[in-house]
Amino acid sequence: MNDRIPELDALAGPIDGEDAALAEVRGRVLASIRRRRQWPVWLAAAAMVVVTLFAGRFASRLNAPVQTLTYSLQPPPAPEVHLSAVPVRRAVRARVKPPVKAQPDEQVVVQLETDDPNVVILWISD
Amino acid sequence: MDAELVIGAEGVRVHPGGAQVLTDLMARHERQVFRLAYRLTGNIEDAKDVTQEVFLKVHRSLGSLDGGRDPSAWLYRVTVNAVTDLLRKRRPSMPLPEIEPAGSHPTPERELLDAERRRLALEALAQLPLKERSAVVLRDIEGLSTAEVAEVLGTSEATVRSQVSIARGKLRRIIDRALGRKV
Repeated sequence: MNDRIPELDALAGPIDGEDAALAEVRGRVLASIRRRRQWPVWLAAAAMVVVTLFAGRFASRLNAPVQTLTYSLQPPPAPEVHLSAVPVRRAVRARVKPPVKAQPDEQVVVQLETDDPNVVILWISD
Repeated sequence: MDAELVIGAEGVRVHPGGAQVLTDLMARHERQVFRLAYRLTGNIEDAKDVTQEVFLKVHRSLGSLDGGRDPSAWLYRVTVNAVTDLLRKRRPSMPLPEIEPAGSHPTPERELLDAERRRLALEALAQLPLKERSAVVLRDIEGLSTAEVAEVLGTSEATVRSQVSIARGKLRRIIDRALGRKV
């Protein structure tokens, strides 16, 4: 019951049309691998196209005519100044130095200066 | 992968992902894969599809193949898995072939007789569950040992012995019935 089945021996040899079938399979396998290798190239090409389109669109925006706005800046009117001729008088004042507190046994000297630098009034007190 | 498979035609070491390695592997093992696929599927077109799928998987796995080991057992396993996937996809629309009664094709010549025997064997195999079919094909046609069949199918030797025994019994009954022998 457990012996080999002799009819299976008919399947042991080569299969009819084996060479042609294997040549076809070989071609299909290599073509499939080639296609898989090419997809990164196609992907890169598609990415390039997308980038180019975006770049073109961006460039067209840059080249679009720009609406120029002109502003004219006018200086404000100068204020009106009315000058009247006023005679300038030089006031004669005596410059008085504050009195220095007299120290005991110290001579106090008050110097009065006039507008004339050559005239100085000295007041000395004992 | 065979150790020398990484050496190209010019003796230059080929990158493991290269098509040259795959071409060498196909040249060495395509008949083994194709014949097993044919014996398990029973027709040329399915065998071609399975063989193509197997070698595409080989190409994807080139980097992880162990260069020091004979890939035959691994290829057997990948082939059986590919056949399993194919038959699972086609099961709803693919009825098992009917065996025609003996004498419907009178074949006096030897060649035609062999063809008839092949057809009979294939149709008988097609009536087995895939696991039993794989076990008996690998054991009785491919000539693998029980241990090797167990490794390919990822099961134990006891299971393989059981599957082969059951498969032989079923095949004998199917073929005897087809040949008009008394069962």
